Amino acid sequence: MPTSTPRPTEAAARDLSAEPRTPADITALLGAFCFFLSAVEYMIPKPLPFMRLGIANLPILLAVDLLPLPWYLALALVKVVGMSVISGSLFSYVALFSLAGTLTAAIAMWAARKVIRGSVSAVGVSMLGAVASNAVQIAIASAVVFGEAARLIAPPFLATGLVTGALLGAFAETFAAKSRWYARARGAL
Amino acid sequence: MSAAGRAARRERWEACFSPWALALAGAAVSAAYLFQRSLMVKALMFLCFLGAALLSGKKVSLVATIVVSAGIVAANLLVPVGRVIAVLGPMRITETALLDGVGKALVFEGLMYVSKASVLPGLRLPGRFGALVASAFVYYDRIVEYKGRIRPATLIEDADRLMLELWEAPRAEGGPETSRPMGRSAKAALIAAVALSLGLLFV
Amino acid sequence: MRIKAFDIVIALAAAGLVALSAVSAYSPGSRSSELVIKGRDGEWVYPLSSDRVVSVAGPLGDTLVAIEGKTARIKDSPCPNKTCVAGGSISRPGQWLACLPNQVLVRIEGGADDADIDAAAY
Repeated sequence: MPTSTPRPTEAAARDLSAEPRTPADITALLGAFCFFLSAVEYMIPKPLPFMRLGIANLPILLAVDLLPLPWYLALALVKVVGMSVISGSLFSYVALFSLAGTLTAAIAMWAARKVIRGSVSAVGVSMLGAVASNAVQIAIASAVVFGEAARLIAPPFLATGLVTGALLGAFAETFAAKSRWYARARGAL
Repeated sequence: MSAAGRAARRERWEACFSPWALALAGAAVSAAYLFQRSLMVKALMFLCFLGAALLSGKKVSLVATIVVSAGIVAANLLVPVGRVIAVLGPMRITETALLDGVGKALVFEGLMYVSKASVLPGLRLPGRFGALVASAFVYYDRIVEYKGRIRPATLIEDADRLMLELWEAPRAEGGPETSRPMGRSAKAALIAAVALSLGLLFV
Repeated sequence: MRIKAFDIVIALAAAGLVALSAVSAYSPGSRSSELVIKGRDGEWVYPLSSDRVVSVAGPLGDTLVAIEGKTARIKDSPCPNKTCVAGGSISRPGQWLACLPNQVLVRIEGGADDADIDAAAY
């Protein structure tokens, strides 16, 4: 799936290391990690086809507390569009599933963090995002590809979201606490 | 199908088209394919898309296509609709459900193939969003080129070190799209493909 | 790493959703009923959930079976008495209609109460 990336000229990268970092920098950097983690997820062998680990959404989860809303949504779009271009699936249903799933997860996670604030940790936020995302994807699959039969795969698919969401949330919580980059990024804005 | 042969095909394909024109043609053909009613026409278009994807040198897995298509058809057969054409144990295989399933599988896989053939990695999206995506691609290249070690035991520390390195490096900006003048036959091919796809909607 | 209150709330809500979807998909009572039409040339199956008109060929001609609003009835038939058309509509598993002269049998199968209804249908 992820075959090659476009090779834009690095010559355009001037020495700007002295300039302050902007939300665009955070967004682009996290977007790049979305691509990277998508590639990693693709390599991990999964016994059953509906098992989505969702690790490619980890940068978006980290961005909930880092980016203002417009940039946060831009990050989600960068992930979807970027992956669709890399894998060449831009006009296919796969891109539709990716768009619906990622946007749903992003919006659900943002809502959870902003509404519930301190009473929820990354674990709950991530779980909500994963389950909402899977639910929306099953609904679309039912309408477009599988018909009524999608109901049969819904339970294990949703259950996978619950479990992987919790695990990813736990990792994100730990990472955010320990990461120096995270502290710098928070301070930069 | 050697990887070297595929890489050569890929370079030739990318040299023929400008990314934007190809992508726009691909989008138009995809839309026409989506609205196509006739199963026979869809099957023919599918074969053309498969051919285009092979010509473009992108990775094509027939096994994956067959497996996914079988899954889609099977899922559609689960709810019987139409004339019963076979009985497998407790399950009745019905004609309308079968044709629906085949149609959906053709659309699902066909869109994937036309997409693969028409979306070149050199595609630059317009505006600030396009610049953002281009930046992300540059960072991605840097991640892939990272020489440091990432071990599962020290995952967080190693990943953090990588992120700091990228953060402190010169800012990433993508270059402009390498726009290529297209030959007359390439242009004609794209126009013909779009016109044919749209025309088949009215047949 | 501390687990917060709403982490539990979300986990329980999600688990509830999974359970609900499992019950809805896997319990035997949830199998939706289907309309089975047997004619001279073969058998047809349709879900009662979407409206349509099915034309079934027989020795006398074509019998039209209409599915509307989750019920089925014989809309028209080339038989002389048209008792089948007057037979009204069926909606529950086990109920049936027939046009004997044209060799058409229309029956609802499946669903939770299939076995019980047969006795009660008359």
